[in-house]
Amino acid sequence: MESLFKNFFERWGYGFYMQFDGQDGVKMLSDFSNATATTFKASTYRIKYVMNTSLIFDTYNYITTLQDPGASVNGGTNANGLQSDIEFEYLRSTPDSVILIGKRYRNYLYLIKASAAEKTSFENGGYLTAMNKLKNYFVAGFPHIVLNQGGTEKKIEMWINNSTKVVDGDYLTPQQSLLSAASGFAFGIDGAYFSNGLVSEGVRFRGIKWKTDTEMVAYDSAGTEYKVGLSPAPLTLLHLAVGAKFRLQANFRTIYPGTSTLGSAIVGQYVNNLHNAYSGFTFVGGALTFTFDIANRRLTVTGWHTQTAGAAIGTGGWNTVYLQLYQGCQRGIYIYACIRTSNTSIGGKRICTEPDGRSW
Amino acid sequence: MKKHILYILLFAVVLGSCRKSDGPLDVDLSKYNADNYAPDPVIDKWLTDSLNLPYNIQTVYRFERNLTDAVRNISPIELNRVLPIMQAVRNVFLKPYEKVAGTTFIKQLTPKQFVLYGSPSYNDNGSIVLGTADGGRRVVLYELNSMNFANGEDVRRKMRTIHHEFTHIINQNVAIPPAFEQTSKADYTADWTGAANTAAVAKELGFISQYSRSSFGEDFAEMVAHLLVQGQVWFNNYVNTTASAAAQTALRRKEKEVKDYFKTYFNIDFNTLQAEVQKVLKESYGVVDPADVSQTLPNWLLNNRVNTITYDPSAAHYTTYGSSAAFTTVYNNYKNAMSTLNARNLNYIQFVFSDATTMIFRANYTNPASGASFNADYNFKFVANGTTGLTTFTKQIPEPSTTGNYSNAAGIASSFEQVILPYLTNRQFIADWLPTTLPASSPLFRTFGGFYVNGTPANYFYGPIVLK
Repeated sequence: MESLFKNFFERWGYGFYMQFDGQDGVKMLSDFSNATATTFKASTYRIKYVMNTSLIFDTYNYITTLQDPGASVNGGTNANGLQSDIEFEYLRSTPDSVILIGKRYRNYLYLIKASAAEKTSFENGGYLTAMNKLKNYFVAGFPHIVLNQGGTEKKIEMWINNSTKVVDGDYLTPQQSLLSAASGFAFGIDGAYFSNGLVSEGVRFRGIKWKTDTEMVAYDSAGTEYKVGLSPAPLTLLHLAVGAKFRLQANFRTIYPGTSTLGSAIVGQYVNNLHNAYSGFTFVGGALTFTFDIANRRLTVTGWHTQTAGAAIGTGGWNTVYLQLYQGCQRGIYIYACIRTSNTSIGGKRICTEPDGRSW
Repeated sequence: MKKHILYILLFAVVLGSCRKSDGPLDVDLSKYNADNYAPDPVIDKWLTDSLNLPYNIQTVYRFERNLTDAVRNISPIELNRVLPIMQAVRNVFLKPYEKVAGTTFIKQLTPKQFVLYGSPSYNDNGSIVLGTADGGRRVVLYELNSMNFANGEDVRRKMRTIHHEFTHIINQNVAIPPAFEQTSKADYTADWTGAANTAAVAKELGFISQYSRSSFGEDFAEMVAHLLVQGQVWFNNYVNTTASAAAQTALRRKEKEVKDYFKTYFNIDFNTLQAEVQKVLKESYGVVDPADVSQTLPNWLLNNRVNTITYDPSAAHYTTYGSSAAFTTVYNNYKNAMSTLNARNLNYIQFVFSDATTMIFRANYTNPASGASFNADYNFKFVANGTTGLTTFTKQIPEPSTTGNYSNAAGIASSFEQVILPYLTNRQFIADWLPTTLPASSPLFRTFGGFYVNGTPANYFYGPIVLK
């Protein structure tokens, strides 16, 4: 059987291949890592009636890795791990699937019966091959789902994050606003499953699969297939994604490659002067974050600085917040309103230039 | 109130029996809600044959939410770790007790259920639970997945938990004598994980571990577990490296009370039990005792074990292991001074430790006129630190006698006072196993010893040690 595992935050998803032997033994593969995708691990399971018929993975296996309370095991937090389950109770079944739900964190476990061909593939290293094939597909171009609604063609661009196991679906409206949706995803042998479903433009996409060796299709819960196109360039323009999806961040004593001279000077003024007591204090960490609020046309610049080594951005330190309105954004050019301020604490530097060139 | 409850119950029963529509319940109870899992042919067979049948011990290794803290995230154990841990339990815990305390003792008192989990159980404050003992019947072990059974210290750590928990069970049968609590009564604290309770603080207060401070019951269990599993050498080192004399006294007193408890109430010779546990840990798991910190030269001196250390520059070992240029100069200055001022020829010098505080500096010399050799003795008092080896010599005035060697000494005192007296009394020395070129692994280690000037290791003298 093949299963799809949806994780907490209703985002992350993990894929497993499980072979149950009927004698309490189960062997697993998982897309948790390349190693777990190729090496079978054996453990036990049992079916037990505990308030409801329950499937319990009662010795350690890859599925337990997500539930393990040790942060070092799965990248979660100590005591909580990734907030996953090892005890599942029966919800419902279809002719080829059994759907269960985690007793503790209410994560869904979809057990989908694997075909003989899929079984052979899983047993012969096909899982890692399939994972790499899909990852490469997303590296080679910019896949998007083509949706025909009432004669209008809509393109929903997909982005996958292999470490958080999240897929994003971005739709650019004719009014040039970006609608972004997200779902966890898990690798299958012939594509990927979207754990919670990727909901965009009224359609809940359940996954993508290979139609031919080079072409993919997306499908919804009813089984309707949608063409997946591959674009050589991103459909989503960066300036539209900024704010809708991303914020910009500069890290402690780091100027990223490609930053312009002026940009380096502006950003560097902050990130490169934290450690040298420029402000009178010495910091061991910091970050400068630009958060765009599209609806209200606001840019919030947050300067975070800390004297605690290893602190996560935004925690264990101080935030200096600066709010700037902007009038609009055309093709990526932002026009800022100038707000007169008497605050000269920022090193006494001029911080604003009027449209007429006056600066103060 | 009681009557009221009774009424409701009766009513419910009556109501139930009136429902005629229910047919006979046709449920095969041997299948309904069955939790008869399929036994593993290797693991479950060993557990049955080696633990269940002989000791009536059940091992629950398949995840059971209700045997641990249900609100916490706990992971099950990996299959391949079940046998190693339970074999260790049998070898390091059951067997030694069985051998020393008897079959009846261990069969009666051993926990009857071992519950195994793979992950630690995290407390709110970030500390983790390694094991618990419930009601004298169940031991729950955590964090087994990260255990490396090839590493004896890992095994030792886990076995300490088991011995700790078993001590609680013993204590539930015969309570800890009230006297035990008195030794460290003022220093027990519920906030044992607090930042103030560092390992060093706990040690200086006379506790075997930080956890010991939580209560006298835990203190007792920690004492037993450390003594049995870490061994006597480790414990002695722990006591000997405690700076506070009060802490040493407390630890020794608690050690005695623990050992007395086992003897008095269970007729168990604790030292024999300790030896059994140590034997299996060393033979099967390759653990080694730490170096005994009491085996230092200053400790030997303080315990009056050393008779003499002789410095004879003509001896072969100075060629083999080297000698100090700085001290050779001192020695030659003395030799020359004796020749010039006293017309005697120096043969060798000797440091004679007559008791734990007295060192006699002895010069052996020849009178060239007669060709006869004599000893000249000069008495010093010394103070040594058993841990650091820091030693100071002070001249004993007057000499204890005016005859014999002391009479000889008076005759050639001018050279002694010119060279040796200032050398020994104007500086501090460190007593140590010298030369440093002789490694601890050498069979000759601890057969040579001497002193170097504190802060100037290149200025040293050493010689073969003659014990008393």
